[in-house]
Amino acid sequence: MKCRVFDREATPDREWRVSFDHIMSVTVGGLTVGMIYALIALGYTMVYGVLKFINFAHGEVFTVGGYVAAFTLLSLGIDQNSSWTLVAGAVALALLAAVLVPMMLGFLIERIAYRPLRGRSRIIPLLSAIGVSIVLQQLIIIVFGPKPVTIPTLALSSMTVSIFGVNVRVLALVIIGVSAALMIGLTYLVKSTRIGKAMRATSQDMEAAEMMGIDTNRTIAFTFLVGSALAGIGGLLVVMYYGSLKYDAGFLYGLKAFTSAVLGGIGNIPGAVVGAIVLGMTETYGVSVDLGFLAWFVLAGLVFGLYVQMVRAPRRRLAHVSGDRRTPDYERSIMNVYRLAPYHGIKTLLSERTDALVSVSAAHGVRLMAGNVFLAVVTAVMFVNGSVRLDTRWQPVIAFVVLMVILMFRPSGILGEAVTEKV
Amino acid sequence: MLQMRISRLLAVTLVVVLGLGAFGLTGCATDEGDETGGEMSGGVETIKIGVQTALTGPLPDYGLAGKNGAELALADFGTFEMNGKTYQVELVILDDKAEPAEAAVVAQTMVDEGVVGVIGSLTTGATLSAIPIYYENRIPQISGSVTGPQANETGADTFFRTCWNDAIQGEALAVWAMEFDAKKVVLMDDNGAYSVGLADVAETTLGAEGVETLRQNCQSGDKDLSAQVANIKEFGPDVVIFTGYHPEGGLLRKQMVEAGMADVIFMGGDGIRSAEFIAEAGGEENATGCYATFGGFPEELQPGYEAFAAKYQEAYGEDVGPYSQNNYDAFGALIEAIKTAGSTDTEDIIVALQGITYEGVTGTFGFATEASGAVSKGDIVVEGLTPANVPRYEVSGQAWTAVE
Repeated sequence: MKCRVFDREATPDREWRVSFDHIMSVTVGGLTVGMIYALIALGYTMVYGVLKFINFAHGEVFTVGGYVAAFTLLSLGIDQNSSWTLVAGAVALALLAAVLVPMMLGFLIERIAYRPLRGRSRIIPLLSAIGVSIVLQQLIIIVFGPKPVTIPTLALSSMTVSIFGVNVRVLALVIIGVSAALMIGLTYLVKSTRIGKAMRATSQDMEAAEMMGIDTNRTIAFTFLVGSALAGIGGLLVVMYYGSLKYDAGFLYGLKAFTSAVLGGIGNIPGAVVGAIVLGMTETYGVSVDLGFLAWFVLAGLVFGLYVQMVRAPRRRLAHVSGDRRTPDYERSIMNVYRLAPYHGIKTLLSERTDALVSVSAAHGVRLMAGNVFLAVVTAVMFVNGSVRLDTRWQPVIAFVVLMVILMFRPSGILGEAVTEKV
Repeated sequence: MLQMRISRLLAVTLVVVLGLGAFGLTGCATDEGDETGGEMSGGVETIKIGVQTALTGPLPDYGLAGKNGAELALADFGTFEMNGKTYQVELVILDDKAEPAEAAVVAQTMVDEGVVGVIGSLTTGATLSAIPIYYENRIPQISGSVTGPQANETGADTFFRTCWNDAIQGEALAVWAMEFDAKKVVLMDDNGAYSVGLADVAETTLGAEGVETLRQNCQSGDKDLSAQVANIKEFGPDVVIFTGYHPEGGLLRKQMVEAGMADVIFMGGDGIRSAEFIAEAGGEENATGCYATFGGFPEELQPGYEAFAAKYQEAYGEDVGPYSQNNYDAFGALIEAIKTAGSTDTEDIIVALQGITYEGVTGTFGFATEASGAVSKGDIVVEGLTPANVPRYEVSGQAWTAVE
């Protein structure tokens, strides 16, 4: 069995190289994918924020949005020769359909499959969600057929614009812009409107919110409506961007969007977008840039890792200690188990010390140190093999490793789970 | 445990029932034969030929078509004269469900039945576990539908096939790319066994000729190929060969055109030779300049196809199923080998098969006696077929048409 690790040999006389055109197209590609994940991830994160439950049927809502949009465009009979006004009108209609139908669907799912089970053990609505996702996928096959839906190439979707001399698809910029705008709008909605306040209250304590006169059923339904509308917009953009969609697309997109939401900090709206961008960029950068260039990103991660281990983690631990116990000696022992983790940390772990906080800190410190050593080794290996590029077969592996490393240093996600400011 | 025992019991019962069914069928056939052959005063000797196929499992339609092909061949070649004696073939039809474990059991049953040869099996995976058993017991095996290049990696001299080895497409794509004078070629697969096999063969062939290659791949189901497209663009190839299927192939072509690589020649195996590919690539405009090979002569180029199709229609009331004519040819070639050998000894039949030239429905062919390059031992050797004249197609308008 031939083991294919690298797609080209490392040649000592060749430095790792990076051309501006290449980096630019990889970046735009990664951002676009990331923003599509983000549109779906926002729905996961909002529902989680309010109900503390993962709506696994969300990926299928996205697929339905894409199918409805595609069939609207197809039934209006537009093709690449259609006039601008006709195309604009058709896309507007498709957008309307791709928002309204998923909204209806999201509302019905919540009403039929989740509300009757609310308040039961958390595993029950989870099962119901998986069931709904399977049912929806079958319904898509029954209604639209098992063949992938394809739309004709529109002038709009193949238009490009030159940025710093590199041709970029206008639609990619539209996707990036729309997602960013929707994220800002959503953050405003949750933070500064009446219904947003109701959402936050429901999220914090549903019973208390009800007692204060908030209609929690209505609030939850509203959350589903907004999340589904975003997924529908995502579906429309994917159909326009890639030109085709298959009935099972929602599974993979849903999984990646859910991962993005966790990576960014579940329940946190800007977090979902940041997580999605990190995931999308990792997927594209990991296999299309030489290791010597990627190593700088890992090095940045190492610097952050060292900052967490040396400064932030001990400071956070000490914040738990009340004033009278916080003697300089005690502070130093906490600092030491983090900063000199192998020596003090392991010694503390082996000794029969009874102070719970110190031994917990020692274990944490050793873990963080192990992570940093791992990052340092990876950085060194990458710099040494600077001119090598990883084979595309490694794409899913790299994404997983990055996910693990980030969650190791930031267990609550990049921007943290929304704790005080729940969605 | 109990479940295992029950399923094993079911499997054994199924094999027995199917075996009995086969006896019943051929029993009828011999009865009819007796009406005419009765006066020949019992000079009839019965020999058994096995049909190892998959009538249940994931590909029952393929299995049935293969069985039908063998049965049609039985009607045509099943009674023959040799050394002044009349021989009557009896089929032993067994179901391996296209499962490797089941295939080994079926192969052993065939051996116990005392067959002189086997037609089958249906799938590459099942064949892999049947080959060693037939090899050890010196029973010739001819498959009409196993196209996987890895089927006969061990080089067993008992294995033959009447369908084309997929690898020939890999070689054909490489040769075609070189006809376009390509200096740099990208090979991309979808991580599936079929696709990786084709791309490996093409990569080796191109590498041997000094063509610079870049290998890329995606997962089946991927939508965004921007990483791969960026790599391809940076590499700057003359030809891109994608060996997977049309959903990813179409997207790859579309995203390449959008990245400004419309003038790069795009090629693939029969996995992309589908009208869906043209739609998924973004229509005629994007798909023009795309080429595909095919792993067999199209029906109109098979000399005996029309007559076979009529016979099939008459017997089963439907159109010819996949690989049915290849199974028909496998049976025909086996009988021809027995006649050439003048013996029903399996060792003699194997030697005869190695030297045979048979005029079948799909064309005139023999079998490769040695493995070389993409060809493995026992592969069909079609008269006049080289990697350069494997059927070629190009996108023209909304369809694939043959390249002259």
